Amino acid sequence: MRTRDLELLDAWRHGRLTQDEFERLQSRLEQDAELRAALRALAEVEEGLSALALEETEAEESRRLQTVGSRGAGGQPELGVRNRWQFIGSNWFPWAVAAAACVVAAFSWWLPHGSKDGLASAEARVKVAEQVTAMLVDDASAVFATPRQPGEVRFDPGTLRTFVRHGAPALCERRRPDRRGSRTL
Amino acid sequence: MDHPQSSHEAFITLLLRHEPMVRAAIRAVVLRAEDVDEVMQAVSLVAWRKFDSLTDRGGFGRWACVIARHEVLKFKRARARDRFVLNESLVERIMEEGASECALRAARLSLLERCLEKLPAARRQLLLQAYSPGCTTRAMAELLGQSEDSLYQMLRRLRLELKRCVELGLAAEGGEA
Repeated sequence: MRTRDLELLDAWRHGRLTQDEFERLQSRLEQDAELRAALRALAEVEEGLSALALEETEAEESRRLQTVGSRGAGGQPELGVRNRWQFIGSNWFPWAVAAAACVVAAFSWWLPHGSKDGLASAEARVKVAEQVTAMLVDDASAVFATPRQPGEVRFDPGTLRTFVRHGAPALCERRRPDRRGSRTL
Repeated sequence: MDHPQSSHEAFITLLLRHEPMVRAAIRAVVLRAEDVDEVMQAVSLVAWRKFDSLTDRGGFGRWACVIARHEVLKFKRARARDRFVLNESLVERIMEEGASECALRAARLSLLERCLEKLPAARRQLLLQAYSPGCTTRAMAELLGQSEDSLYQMLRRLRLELKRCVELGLAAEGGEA
């Protein structure tokens, strides 16, 4: 099989032929069993690649969910003692910002809400939580969705939302539509 | 006749085992992955409705490919006005010849994974990215700061390299390329 023929088949499959070229290719396909077999083989490569790419996408999604799940439950990523300290040491700035934000959040919890109704205090806490997000994302550049290394803070811009859970501000991921349907993260 | 439950399980098992091969057969004449999904769904439904009439379950793959041929033709008829669509008799011929390649197709798909692993990581990643759901060459070219044409050329070279690798692998295993 000539490389040029394979290139023509590939070009048709990717919408890169003119009408004339397509007519010629179709006429050759009608006459040439070897060319038809090559077309099927090329299609198999493409279908196989699609399947492998989908597997990879799903595996990556699963890894991401596991990470989010373990952090959401208060778990620690699996790090050795040395790595853990390296991790903290090399990422001190986001943690410092987060610690400062926690202090602010704690103050916001007690100070302004003693006599206010629950809704107002909840709104105030949401604002604080939003500030925490903003600080982490903007000031600490916490946009580390990829590459996924264990020592990184993992926030995608726009993927977090704040809400109140049991009276306390919390962060969670927004629902993101899956390309093959609408799965919830 | 089987108990409904065991018939159901047998069907699911056979469908899962043969789906990649049937999809690959469909893809020879249906170009977009999303359209392959649509045809495959129709094939699965028809196969399920007719499953009780299949006496030789060992021939499930070939049987499913025959159903796929009919469903592809229905799909093509609905899109007869599209440009660059192969004529019906040619589609039928390609699918018919492909129905006898089920076993070979399984071997090729398995070899493809090995061939992909032989590629340098960056190229492998590029290919998988290009075939990830919803990705277009144009969007990817923009992301990489390349022209769409040069990205297409690169992807084409890699696809043909993989095809060649699979055929060499088949030949080495004693199959025919």
